[in-house]
Order: sequence, then structure tokens, then C-alpha cells
Amino acid sequence: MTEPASSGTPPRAPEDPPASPAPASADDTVIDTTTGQDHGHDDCPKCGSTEVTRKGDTMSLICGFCRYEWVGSRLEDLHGLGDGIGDLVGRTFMSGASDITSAETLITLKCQGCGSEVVVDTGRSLEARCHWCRSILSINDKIPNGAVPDGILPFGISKADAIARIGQFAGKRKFFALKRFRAEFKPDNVLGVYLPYMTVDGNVTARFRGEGEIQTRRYTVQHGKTSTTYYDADVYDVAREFDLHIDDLIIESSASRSNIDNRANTNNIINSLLPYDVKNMVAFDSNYLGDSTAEKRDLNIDDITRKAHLQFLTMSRESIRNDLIHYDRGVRWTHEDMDVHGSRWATVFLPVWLYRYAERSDNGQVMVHYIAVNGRNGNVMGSVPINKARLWGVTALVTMLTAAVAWPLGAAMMAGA
Amino acid sequence: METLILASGSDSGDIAIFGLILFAVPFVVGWFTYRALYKRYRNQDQRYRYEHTTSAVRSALQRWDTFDRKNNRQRSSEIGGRNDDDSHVRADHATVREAQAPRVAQEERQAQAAREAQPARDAQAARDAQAPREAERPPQAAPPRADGA
Repeated sequence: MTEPASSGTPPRAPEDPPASPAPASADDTVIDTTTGQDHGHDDCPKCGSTEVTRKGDTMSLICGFCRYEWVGSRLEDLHGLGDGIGDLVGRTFMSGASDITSAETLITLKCQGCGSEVVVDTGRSLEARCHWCRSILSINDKIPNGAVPDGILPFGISKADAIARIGQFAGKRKFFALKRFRAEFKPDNVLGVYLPYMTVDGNVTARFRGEGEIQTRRYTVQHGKTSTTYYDADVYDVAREFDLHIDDLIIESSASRSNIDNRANTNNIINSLLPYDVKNMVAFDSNYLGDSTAEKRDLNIDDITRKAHLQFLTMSRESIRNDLIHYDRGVRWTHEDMDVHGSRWATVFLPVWLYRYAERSDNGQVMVHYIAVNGRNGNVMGSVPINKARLWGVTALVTMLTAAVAWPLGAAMMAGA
Repeated sequence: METLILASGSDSGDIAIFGLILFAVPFVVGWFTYRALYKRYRNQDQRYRYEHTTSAVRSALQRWDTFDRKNNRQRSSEIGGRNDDDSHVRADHATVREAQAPRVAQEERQAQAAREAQPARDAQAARDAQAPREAERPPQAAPPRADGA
């Protein structure tokens, strides 16, 4: 490849210093996902009972009284979320991704069954059972504290299955595990939790500029007793410009989960469970939550826009790699430039089976280790606290055994030389 | 591409170097053992591989590849500062702009009613100069009372 694939001058990226993404400044379009339902009873559409649960691990809801079954509406079908990414202009978001305007998590509902008042802690759950008449009260529409998402992906993996997977994962990592962890490990303590995320589509144009090299010759030259290999290369000015339509990038919308720092936490474990099949998410219905707890979203779109844009940029770079293979000595990009023409945001609850273990170090610091299972496809990942004394001991043993073989051999060679 | 080997050789010096390398091998093996076991238990390198798993459709690709110069007799098999093989490494100059949606035309503003002129403020009267304060006297001991108390 020596001929330019396109004539003309490559696009000039602005000569800015290493810059961070620009703050959000676009006008907003809102897709209304509010239900208009009052909070309180979320009745069976057939008989009016509130005893509605999920049917096993399916997407169906079933009334515990009359056995009527129905399936929640897929958000993709309802609002055409998979379509028209190339037409996105400015910011479009669903009602559940609106800015959080209230820090209040406790909501008092009046039971329609008996009139008593029931408090729902929306920081943990969106349902509560009336302590007098036993009917279930739910948060049935968006609330300003960000607790109610647009969509939800119900668990597809049962608790028993998750327990088995976590047990198997930890079982393979027993030898170097902390003694206390081994003694206290009880996978039955696994909890089902819905964690808050945002999905974002992006309509972007990316431009990259830099230099690429193609090797023309490779040769070895003898310098006295040593030899050196040299490479000749042709240098090209390389530029690429293209549109990229990004579909369903998933980003944490909880500040505590979003903070991934391997020295202080193991949030990367939960992050590594992504992606999920968010195409299958259904419009949020608190009946899907069941006994699982739900973590409240506490980040707005503005808070995660920078992260989303950086990930768009990384994806753009990744998507152009296969177009550069003829530059066998590689490419050095010097300018990256991206226009985000439009983005579309939705909030979603994603299911995680979570086993948690707090390791208290000698200096009093606590590190929380997670073993987590993707509630949809069963992928498991975890962090197991390590017995460092045992690890160092085995490392020393391996080092000594290797030395026992390598050192006499090395000594003999030195003596021979 | 042309490959040419002009000369090569090895002697007792190379054997001595290899012998030295053998001395270092146990420590390297120990280091890799520790790293591998630690990684297996803590999985600190695990993360969401969004750049590989998220659907992204590329279109309207334009290319510019212009020969610039020859760069001969390089010791490295790769271009200096190569970053195309790690999409997480940002280029020296990185810019992201978010476009604005076309704004909805605003209603024509109505002219505001002219403000009524406010009465001119009266100038404040000049303050009278105050007498200079006297320096505070140190508290004096109370005079002895006649009853001797």
C-alpha cells in the first residue's frame, strides 16, 4: 500500500493541548417512560390481587391468586431504542434518566387495602408489604430521587445455580485463600441485587491523525563480537475519518460502584460482569424485584458523560485497528478528535448475585471482596482474600527449586567459558 | 521486504552471558509465580471489555495515507511511540465535542415597558467631625472606704 486511498488534504485536528471532553451542552429530548400509575397497589390486571411475582426465571409475571400470566413490554420495542442511532442529534434520554432532584429515599405510601401508612426505603427496595393487611405496595412510577429506572433485566439464573457457581469458583481457590475466609465461607449468604446502570447509544464522527511505518528491509550487521538487527521503513502521514454508531454501551450510575480502584476496592469484579443482554430489558415493574434488593442510582447523565465520551473514543480507536494492518511497524496517533452528534440514554436495573466478604487488615483497613455472578448468563468473577504468608512461602520454594537446577548449570557454563 | 544477514557469531563470551542469565532465572520464575497466583485469586485485571463487546457500526470511512520520508537503520521493530495497538492510550492531542441539537425558535420577546425614572437621591449631609477619643485610662484601684472594709 503506497498510494493514498483518498486524495486531498487530511482533516486537521484542532491543535489543542491534551484535552478532556467538553462539558455537556446539548439540548435535551425526553422519551416519556412514566406510567402515570399511582404508587401503592400494583394489581393483577385480571383479579386485582397484589400477590404478583415472577414465574420462575422467565420474563413472565404471574398472579399468585388467579394464576394469570403476562410479560412486561420490551423497552426496545416500545420506544425503538435499537433504531435510528445515526439520526440522533443532541441528547435524548428516557424519563428514568432525568436529573436527580431529591435526596429523599423514604417514601410513605397509604395502603389502598386498609388505609395504614407504609414506609418504603427506596434506597434498598421499591416494594414493601403492608404490616396490617399484608398487601404489597410498590413504587409504580418515576420518582425524583432516581430510584426507579426505565427498564429492568430480571434474573435468569436461580439462586441455587448462583450458589453452586460461587462455591465452585471459591473451591478452586482454596489453597492460598485467607484462613478465616475459608472458615467463614458460606455461599448460601449470596444476595440477589439489582444494580443501577445507564445504557447509552452514540452517534459520533471520529478523526485520527498520526504517522505509520511500513518495514521495507530487515538486516543484521556484525560489530566485532556482537551483531545488531536493523530495520528500514517508509513513513506515512496517516489520517482516518469515519462515523461510528454505538449501541448500548453500559455505564455504572452508582458513584460507589463507579469508583474502580484496585488498591481500595474490588469494584472491578462487578464491572467485569458486563455486558448484559440489555436488548431484552423490559419496562420497569417492581413486581420483577421479588426478594432482591435494589441499589439506587445517584449519578446523573452529566456525571458520567465524560466517562461515556472517553469510552466512545476508545471504541472509535478500536474500530479502526483492522484498517491499519498494512502498517506492520505500527501507527503513532498524535491527534484524536471526536464529535458526538447525538446520544441516547436509558437507566436500567441489572441483576447480580453477590457474595461479599470483608477482609480486615492488621492496620484496621477493610477491603470488601466480591464474588459475583452475572444474573443473566451466569458468568462468575471474584476476588478471594489471599493468605500472603503462604503465597510468599510457595514463591520462595519455587525460586529455590529453580535455583537448585539453574545455578549449578550456570556455574558450570561460567567455568567452561 | 528483504531480509539480509551479513554476519553472526557466538563464542565463550556469549556462554558467560547465558550463564549469568541462568543465575537470574530463579528470581524471574519466582516473580512470575507470585504474579500468576495473585492474579488468579484477586483478578485485579478483570474489567468490562466494552471496546470489544459493545456493538459499533463503522461507516463513511475516509483514508489519507501520504508518503512522508524514509526512516532507515532503526533498531526497534516498531515505530517509536506506537499506540494503535492499545486503544486506551490517548494520543497527545485528544478532543471531544458534543454537538447541540437545533434549538427551538424562541418566541419573539416583547419590548419591556420603559422604566419610570426614580427621584434623584438626596446627597447625604456631611457628617460632623467627632471629637478625638481619649486614650482609655488604666483601671484605678478603688479608693479605701471610710469604714475600713
